[in-house]
Amino acid sequence: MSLPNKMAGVPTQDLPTPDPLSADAPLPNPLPRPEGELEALQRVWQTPRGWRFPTVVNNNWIGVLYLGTALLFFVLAGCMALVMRAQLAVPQNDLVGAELYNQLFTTHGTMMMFLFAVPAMEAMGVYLLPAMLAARDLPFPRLSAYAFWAYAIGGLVFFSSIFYGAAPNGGWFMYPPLTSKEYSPGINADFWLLGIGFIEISAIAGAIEIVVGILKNRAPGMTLDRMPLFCWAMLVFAAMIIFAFPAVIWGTILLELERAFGWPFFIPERGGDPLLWQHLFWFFGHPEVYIIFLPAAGMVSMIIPAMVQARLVGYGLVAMALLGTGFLSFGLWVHHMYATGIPQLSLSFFSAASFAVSVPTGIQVFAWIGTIATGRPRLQVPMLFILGFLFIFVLGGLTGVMVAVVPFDWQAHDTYFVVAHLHYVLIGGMVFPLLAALYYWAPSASGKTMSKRLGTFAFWLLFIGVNLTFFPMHISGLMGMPRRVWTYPEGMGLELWNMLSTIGAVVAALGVAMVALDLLRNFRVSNGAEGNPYNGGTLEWLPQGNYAARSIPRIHSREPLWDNPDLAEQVRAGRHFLPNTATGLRETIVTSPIEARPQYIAIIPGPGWAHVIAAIGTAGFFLSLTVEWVWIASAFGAVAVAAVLWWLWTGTDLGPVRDSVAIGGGIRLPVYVTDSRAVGWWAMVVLLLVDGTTFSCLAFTHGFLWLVNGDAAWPPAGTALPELVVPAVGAALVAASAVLLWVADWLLRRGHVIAMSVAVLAALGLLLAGLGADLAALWETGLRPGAHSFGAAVFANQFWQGLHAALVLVMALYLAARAWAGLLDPTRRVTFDNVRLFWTYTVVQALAGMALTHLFPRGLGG
Amino acid sequence: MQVAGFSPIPAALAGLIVWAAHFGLIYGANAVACARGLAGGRWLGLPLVPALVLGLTALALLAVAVIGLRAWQRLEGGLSGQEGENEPRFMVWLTLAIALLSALAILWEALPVLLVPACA
Ligand code: HEM
Ligand SMILES: [Cu+2]
Repeated sequence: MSLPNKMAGVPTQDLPTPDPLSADAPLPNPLPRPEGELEALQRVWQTPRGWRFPTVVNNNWIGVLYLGTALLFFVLAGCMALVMRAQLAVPQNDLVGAELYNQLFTTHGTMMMFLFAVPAMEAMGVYLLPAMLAARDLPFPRLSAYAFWAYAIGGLVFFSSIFYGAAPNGGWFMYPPLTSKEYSPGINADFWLLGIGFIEISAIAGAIEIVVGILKNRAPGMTLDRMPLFCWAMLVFAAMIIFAFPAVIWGTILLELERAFGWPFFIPERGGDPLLWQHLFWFFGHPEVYIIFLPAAGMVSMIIPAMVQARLVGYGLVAMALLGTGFLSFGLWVHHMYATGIPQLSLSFFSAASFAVSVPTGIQVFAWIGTIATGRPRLQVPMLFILGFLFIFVLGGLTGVMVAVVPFDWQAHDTYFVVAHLHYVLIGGMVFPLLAALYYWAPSASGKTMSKRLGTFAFWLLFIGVNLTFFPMHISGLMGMPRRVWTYPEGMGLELWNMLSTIGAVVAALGVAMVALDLLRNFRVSNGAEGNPYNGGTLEWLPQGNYAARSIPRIHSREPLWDNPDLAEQVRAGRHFLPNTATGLRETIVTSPIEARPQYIAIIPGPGWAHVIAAIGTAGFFLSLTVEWVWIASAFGAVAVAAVLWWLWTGTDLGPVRDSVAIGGGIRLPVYVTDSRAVGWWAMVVLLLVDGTTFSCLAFTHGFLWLVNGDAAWPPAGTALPELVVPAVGAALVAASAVLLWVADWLLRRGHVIAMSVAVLAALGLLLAGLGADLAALWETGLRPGAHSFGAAVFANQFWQGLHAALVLVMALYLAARAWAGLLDPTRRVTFDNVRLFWTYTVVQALAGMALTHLFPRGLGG
Repeated sequence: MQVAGFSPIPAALAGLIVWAAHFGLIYGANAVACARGLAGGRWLGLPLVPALVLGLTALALLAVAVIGLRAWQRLEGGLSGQEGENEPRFMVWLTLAIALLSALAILWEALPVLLVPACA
């Protein structure tokens, strides 16, 4: 358990010479392999069959199911687009009325963005990453499976709301006041807020899995600069989800609090401001475009080299561009708000940033063109889609530069010009690369390539159809046709352009049908595929089973399969690391984040029902809340919590089931670690980043509302804040709970497990007492959330703190139960460490929240 | 708690972190100045908002320059073979490239202050 050298899995003093990761060292494992080794590996990784199939967690299956579901939503949302285009084909058509049209475009946009684009990219990550990194699986397969089920169930229910006239109708960005209770009294808006809100949670769960997987589960020797660019792109993608999604989740919470309880965040008469929603939404919404685009760019950077059989030009620059885009795209959100009366200089900052972000995108485009120029292009189906992508995306980029110019945007804002621009960017930048990827990687799942004939046919239909649909929209937009109108009058010259758009949509739909046909005919998931039809150079083209590669290769370059033609055979024969199941359980090698040196063997969970039930419970909870079945919602919520606890109890923190295991090359690794090498520790830290970002949005809410209300009205006249004494005592109690946790740690290290649990429960009491005292003091003063946005903001803060208190409550009881059940001791203590990490964060956040409530308004001299 | 082998990642991103701080500050400063009617004010005899923005920009560029120069020196100094083959080299190179991109973005975003009135 004690490793003197924290960087390496290998204790320095008995480091075998030469370094077992270097190219000069002999292959890690000798032949022949022991009898039965492969069979044991296969048995451990077996896919559950029959009625047990839903318990499957292996990334090969979850990835394909995930992608299939995302494509299903693409088709469903596409059908809605066809209905809309049918309605708009001729002027003054009455196929669908205004109300249904509103629901159609809202649901189409929402589904495309939240139920298709982001999940499709997560699915590609879940499916491809383990193979590309030569990990047996990502570190938390049940988490991805949970994310998948929650998304699939929630998404289907969300979609079906259109059949009951209950679908949201306020546009995919849901601006209040249109979506406030006053103007949208029905449950349509709630469907969006609660339905999409929790699908965002599932996206975050997937993102945590992806970040930790990429940083910690790479093949030994796959240093950061040998990592395939798709992995870089997915790393940035997941990091962006972690920092962008909290903003929309927080906005969603505020709007739902306003709708359900009348807390006036967005109602100007009571000190609110609708622009607060726009800021929160677009702080997420603009990065969202890049969240969708970056993984697509990563795929392109993988497919082009294989298609032209040449290494990518400018690998380092492309990695830099991905990171740069990830950051810079957070500086663009206000460019969706040019028409809102924000000061002109502020708009200029965003206009300039919109240009700055095109620099890294340009770098990538040049790298791709350069690579094509150095290689020998083969016009296979993936390459066709790549060329289509370049063409459409560059056109979309050009119109993007146009609308980033403030005066032009004032003209084009909310017209069909914007509809054209956004579809060029989204379809060019995401759908075409995804189709290229589908054709390129399908053989890795099914063992054979899809049809060249059908694929080529599909490509031309889609290419012509998409351009025919959306190019005329530039013109109808410039002629003044507003977006989101259900019909238009005759005689304004709009007939031709709309008819062309509708014809184009039908052509594109035929293209999609062609892809579907090809999938039906030529795609069957198999439990392991061989062969490398496009001669790719990266690890996903190694011979695969459910357990990914038979042995985990030692990596020395970016395209190991090109540089070492024997690698596939060596891996299959079991000559590289961990050719067996060392613990008799599912496991994978955990490596260091930069240099990918082996650190320990993580045991990963296999099939189970707990996460499936948890997903059903979560989806049921949010969906019943939408229709205000409070009791049913509570029941679902209880089921979800119980299922999660069962999942954690049986599947995590198994402790050191073995002392250490040999993986070959003289390396012995522990199977249980408790410090910052542990993947659980990383997941918790990433989760806290999500939490911290949400809290920043909370603080922003306070600052923004203060700014629009003015110092004198913050708090509004006649509002008294409690004396500082009670909050000060509350803060002291909260802080004391953190101190008590250190005591608990001290007790645990000395083996006083029961005493530790007592200390933890006492700390829980302190935390709850401190937060409760603060809440009571506020309530005493007569402050209420409904009267003014000041009270609403203060109580939103209380709501957030209360949520954390409830989580800590569950964690503390769980910890105590583990202690009493004898599942916690000085060695086996990951549960304790993770609870303490979350708890400490909760304490810091509670203190910051109290400062926001009590000190911020006082500091303003109000 | 020290995080095993993680620190080169935030180091490589340092330029962009400076960019984010700069962007947030100039946007926030202008928003507050306009909302509170401070834009007409002066600071050291200069109009308040442009002076503030240019001051922040100078600071940010200085920080990025320091990051970039240190990376440059490390690249020149030859640092291969510290830990994992030539990995440190790549991370230092990345630090430098990112610093350049950040400097460009910072400069670009601050320039409008010379052309556009603060609160019109
Ligand atoms: C060939 C396929 C598609 C067609 C024919 C199509 C058609 C349409 C139409 C007719 C509208 C309504 C315009 C209006 O009335 O303002 C619309 C809106 C929209 N579409 Fe598509 N679309 C397609 C694919 C996509 C894809 C792939 C995405 C995203 C990945 C997407 C995202 C959106 C969004 C975000 C909106 C705006 C919704 C709103 O105004 O709230 N679309 N599309
Ligand atoms: Cu944008």
